[in-house]
Amino acid sequence: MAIYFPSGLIISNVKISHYTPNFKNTAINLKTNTYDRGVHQIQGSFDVHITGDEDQRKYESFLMQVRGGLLPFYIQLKGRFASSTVISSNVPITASYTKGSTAFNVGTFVGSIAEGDTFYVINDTKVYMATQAALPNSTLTFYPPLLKSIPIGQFCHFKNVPIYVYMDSDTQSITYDQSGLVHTTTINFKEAI
Amino acid sequence: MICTLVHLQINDFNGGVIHYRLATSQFDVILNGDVYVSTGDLLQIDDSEETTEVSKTGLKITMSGLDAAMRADIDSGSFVRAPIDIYIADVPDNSDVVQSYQFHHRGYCDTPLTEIDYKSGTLTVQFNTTNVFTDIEKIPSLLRSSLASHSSRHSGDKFFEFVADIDVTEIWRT
Repeated sequence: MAIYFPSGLIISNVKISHYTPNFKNTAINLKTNTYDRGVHQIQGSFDVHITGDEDQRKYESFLMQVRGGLLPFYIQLKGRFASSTVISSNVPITASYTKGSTAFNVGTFVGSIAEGDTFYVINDTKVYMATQAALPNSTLTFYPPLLKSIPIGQFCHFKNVPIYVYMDSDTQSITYDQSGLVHTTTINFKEAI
Repeated sequence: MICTLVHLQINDFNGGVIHYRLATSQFDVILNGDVYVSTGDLLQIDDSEETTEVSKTGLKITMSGLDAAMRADIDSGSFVRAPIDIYIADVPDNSDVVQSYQFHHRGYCDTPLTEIDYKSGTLTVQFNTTNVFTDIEKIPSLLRSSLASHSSRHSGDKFFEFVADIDVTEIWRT
C-alpha cells in the first residue's frame, strides 16, 4: 500500500538536486569526452514544522510506517512541481511508447506545457521533466528516458506531481520548539527509482 | 547511453539452464533479442586486469544480498563454474535496443560469499570470476600416456612400454 507524507504540515526551505552521474574523461590536452549513463535521480531536503497534537502524532506514526529509509513514500512539494501554466485536462499520449523513449506525441488538451514542467505517467513513479515547451497536438520532449513501456491510451499528469522518495537516513530526529508546541525536523530524501 | 550488461547461466538440478540477464541502466534493454533487466541488484563490478599473459585473472562482482529469486541458486552451489559474460553496451537515445556492444569479461563464476555488515547496514553477495583461459590450465588426466591407455587406443603398439615416469602437465601458457 502506498505511503503518503502527512498533509497539512508546513514545509519550508526546500532544496532539490538533480543527480545525473556520467562517465567523463579529460585528456592531457584538456579535451573532454563524456558518456551518458542515462540515469537520473532527484535528491533533496526540506524542513517540516508541525503544530497541534494530532498532527504531531500523525507525523510520528508516519515515521513508523516508513521506518527510516526502509519504505518509500509520496511527497507533494507543489510550488515547483505544480504545472507552471494551467493545464485543465490531463495530456493524452497518442501512441504506445517503449522504455527508453524521450519524446511523446501528445493530443488535444487545454493550456500548454512549459519548458521545465514536471509530469508523471500512471503505473510509473518516476518524475519526468519537459525539456521543451509543447502545445496541444505536438511533440513533448522530456528527460529522463521512459523507465517502463506504456500502451496506447495513456496520459501525462502535470498537476501537483508527487515525488516518490526514500528517507536518506534510518535515524529521524524531531526537535521540540516553543516549549514543545512546535515540532521541527529536516528530511533528506532521494528519489526511489 | 552506456551501460553494463551481465549474463549469468546457472545450471539447475533438472539439467536445464537458468539465464540471469541484468543491466545497470535505469530501464530494461534488449541485446540480440534478449531482455536485460534493469535490476537494483548489481552494486559493483570491480575493475578487470588486462595482461598480455594468458592467465585466468577474473574480476569481482558485488550484488544485493537477498534477492529471493537468486537466493536458492546462490545457496545450492550452482554458481560454481557458471558461465558469465559481461558486456559494455551502447543504447542510442530514444531507444531501448543495444546498438553496439563489446565484451568486458567472459569467464566462469566462483563460489559466492554472503557478507552482512550490521554497522553499515549492507547485505551483499560477492563472487569472483575467472576468465575463459582457465580452461587451458586443466591437467589432462584422461590422457595419461601409459602402456595400458596407449594400447587400448592403438592395439599392439608398445611405444610406452619402457617409460618410467610421465610429467602429465600440458603447458599452453607462459
